[in-house]
Amino acid sequence: MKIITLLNEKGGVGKTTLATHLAAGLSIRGKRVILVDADPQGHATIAFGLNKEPGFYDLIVRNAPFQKVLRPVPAERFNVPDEAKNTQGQLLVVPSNIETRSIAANISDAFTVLKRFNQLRNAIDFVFFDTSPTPSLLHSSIYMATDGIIYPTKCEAWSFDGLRESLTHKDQFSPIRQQYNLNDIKVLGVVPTMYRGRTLEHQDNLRRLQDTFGSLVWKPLPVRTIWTEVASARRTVFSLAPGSSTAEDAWRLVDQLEERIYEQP
Amino acid sequence: MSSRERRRRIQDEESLLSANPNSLDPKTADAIGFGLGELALDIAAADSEFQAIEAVSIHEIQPNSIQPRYSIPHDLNDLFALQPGNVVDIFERWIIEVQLETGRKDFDIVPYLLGQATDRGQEAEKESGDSGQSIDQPPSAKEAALMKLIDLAASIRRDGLSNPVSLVRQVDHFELETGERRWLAYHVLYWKFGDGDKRPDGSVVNWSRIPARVVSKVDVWRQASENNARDNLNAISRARQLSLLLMDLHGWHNFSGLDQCDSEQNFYAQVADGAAWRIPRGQGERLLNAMGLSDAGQLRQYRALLRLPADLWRKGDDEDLSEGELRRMKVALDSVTRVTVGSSKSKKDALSRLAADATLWRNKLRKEINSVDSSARPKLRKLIEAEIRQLLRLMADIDESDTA
Repeated sequence: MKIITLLNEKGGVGKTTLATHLAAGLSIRGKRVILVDADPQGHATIAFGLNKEPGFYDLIVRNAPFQKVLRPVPAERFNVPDEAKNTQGQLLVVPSNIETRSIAANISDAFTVLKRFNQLRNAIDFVFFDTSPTPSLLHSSIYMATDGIIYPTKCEAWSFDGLRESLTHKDQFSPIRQQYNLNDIKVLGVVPTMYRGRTLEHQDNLRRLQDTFGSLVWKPLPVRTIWTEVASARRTVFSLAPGSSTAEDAWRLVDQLEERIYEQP
Repeated sequence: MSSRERRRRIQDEESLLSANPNSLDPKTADAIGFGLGELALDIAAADSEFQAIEAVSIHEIQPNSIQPRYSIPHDLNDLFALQPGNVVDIFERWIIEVQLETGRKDFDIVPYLLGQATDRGQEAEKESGDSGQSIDQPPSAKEAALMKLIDLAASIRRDGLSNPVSLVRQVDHFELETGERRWLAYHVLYWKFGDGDKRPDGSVVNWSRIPARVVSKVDVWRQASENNARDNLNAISRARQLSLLLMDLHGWHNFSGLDQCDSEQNFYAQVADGAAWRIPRGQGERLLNAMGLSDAGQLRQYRALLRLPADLWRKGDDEDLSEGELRRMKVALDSVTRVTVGSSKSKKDALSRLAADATLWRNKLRKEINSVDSSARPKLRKLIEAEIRQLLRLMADIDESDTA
């Protein structure tokens, strides 16, 4: 089981969209995937037409069993319509609501998240955490559980600042993880989102990003109206517009993730 | 597909996809992709592995009456039924008895709990390692047992509780499965430091709540493995443990409950007859393993302890005597008729009530004394001393009538 966290301490950079599509893409490819909505806004929950509820809070604070908090997503919501019935993998969501905000005040053990999800090591292939932009103690607990991080970022100054803050916090956890014999968190990718390739500002910023992070920078995800349609329809682009170029872009994200996960160090 | 067509399709499908999976029958759930198949079993298995740790109020926990280890000496157990409301009274009484036995007037447990300098610590510091030195006076059984509990409480205060107690949820309380001594240690810490105590490492802790795993029912096999893993049972407790496991193997319906037996020993002694209650075929290895023993001879020896004279049973338990010592003492005592104090449940309840009344009066008196003007205190002291003399006379009468 791999635990992957989507992180950027700046809101509106595409963390939720990326999390839902990477989770859905791997499920379509036959993996058993859990998407944990760790953001009190609960947008990863409503992205699949589920109700906001305190699933993550119940799991971590009230020690609820997984059976009580996991919500299965019907394949029609995330897979290509004609192939939905034959979906091999599974996608489950741990939903969130405003109560997720109180988790940080109620956990005293930084290993709480790790301990809970370790239980599923034999049942699940991937766990994705969609996090909130504001750092909290909950982020620390998620850091202790995470194998790899993906940083979505817009090619804009404030998103870069959020990215810088996130990287600093990740580095602060390295010695703590070493102390407990945990491998260092692998940076799986920096994903330029909502990219406007015709603007000089975005072109320059993308170049800066590539200069800094080299091959860790994934191919930029262009800005498209269909992403907002996807949100309204509460599905993925694979389900809503399977033949579109945006669906191709999304599949390329899944490819890049799989390459990074399975590549040898 | 155009944007307009996509919208129409979504509207058509939405009502079905928005159904609540929890309100669907399994067939429909499977049909629209809510079914989890084998994954549901895997998740259920993962859930069953996890036992959440909760912080439970020590006042809501009651001891398990048939657990093999007795944490407090028998004569205190005769006076006070061990209940959350009685724990402080038991400790107060216990400390007074240790003071009387050792002649120490100012025995204060707080320095021990704080890990501060104590006479015991100073003795240890003076210790030269010369094995030729004699030990002046070994501690009494009551003092040794009390100090073991105080040491446990001190270590919990210093290092935290590494092993949560296990509890069974009953209608209006929790019942202890394992961890009676840890629960008592939390009571001691709460009594002396209350909630919000700052530990040596700077963390703040509420001693009124103890970390616990809540299990579905008392499992004597789990109790046995917990006790043996920590190797902390004396011979009598091991005999009780063996008895419980044998009762479990033969079925509890074959035996009377503790409250139906004249004494706790009689409850465990129901399986003392090895011919009547043989170890069921195929269970010998499991029993040896759970008891941490290596051969059937040892099982026989522990079973034989169930028939010890009541006095010896209590002495062996209070003084942590070994199986060998108890066997030898039994042989020596076999020809002696012992007068034992009856300890039927009604008598025990009456004594417990009397002791509780005495505690109530003592607390009331303490309050009254505090409210009296200091100039009148010498007079009050004389009055109390006169009352004490009367009470001592009454106690002497009780002793006389017992001997008669």
